[in-house]
Amino acid sequence: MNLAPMVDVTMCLLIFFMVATRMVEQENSQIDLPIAPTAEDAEKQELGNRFVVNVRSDGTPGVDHVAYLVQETEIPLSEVFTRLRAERQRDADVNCVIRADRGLPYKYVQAVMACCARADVRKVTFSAIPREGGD
Amino acid sequence: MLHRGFSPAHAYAPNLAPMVDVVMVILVFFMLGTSLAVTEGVLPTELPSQIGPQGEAEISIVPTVRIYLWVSADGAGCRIRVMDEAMPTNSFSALRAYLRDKRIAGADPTGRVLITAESEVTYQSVISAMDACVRAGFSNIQFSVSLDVTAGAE
Repeated sequence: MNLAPMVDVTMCLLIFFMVATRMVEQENSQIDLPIAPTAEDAEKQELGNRFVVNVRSDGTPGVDHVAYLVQETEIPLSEVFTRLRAERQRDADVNCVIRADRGLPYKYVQAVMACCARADVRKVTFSAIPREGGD
Repeated sequence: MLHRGFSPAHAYAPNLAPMVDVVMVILVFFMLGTSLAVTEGVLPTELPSQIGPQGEAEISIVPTVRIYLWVSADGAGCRIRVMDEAMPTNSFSALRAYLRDKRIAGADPTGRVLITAESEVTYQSVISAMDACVRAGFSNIQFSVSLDVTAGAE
């Protein structure tokens, strides 16, 4: 049996799906992002130089504690501010991308925004999942 | 006739079956991977330029719409107040309808929409409020941030 044509076709399909597969940039996949149908595609947005802050609940029931993660490393909020200020000094147009758990109290996100304000970082971007059902 | 020495080239047909097996598995992986990929979106905003390291918070521009989110003590979830008036129904689709009506009535879609939320409001509610504003046609959405909120969020 001549398998060569089948291998050709299969290879073409394979390359197609490899190219079509969108490698979504997931800085931290364990975060349940909020749902917002109007969220714009992250790949189409010109976010420029970005500084990603992940805000994640540590999952302990009844304990009000969150972890601020930058590049997969947990750091205190004061360190978030220090790094934001350093980024701001390096690039005036730095964009702070906040990826936070949807169920967290807003104060934790607000704290990161306050760090941005104090570090003079104007551009703040919220990560969200663009699908229906956020109400 | 008996051939001696090397066989003719066409006699060596490589066995492609294992390769086809592997390629098929990879193909199925990518087909499933394509359909299951969760795309991530973004909601960009800018902090008002009046706040900053100097600490001045003199925002002179009066916002077109002010939205206030708060949690009631009776545990009924997130409550919404627009322009200091409580919404009759506390749903973000109602907020969207209200904002759309306001825009159709002549509100400037590039005007500033200011969202203020209490600390205990869930992040999803804040994003839903922002989403409602974007859906209603407003593009300049900003958040009021108090610079001393970091104290309780460590």
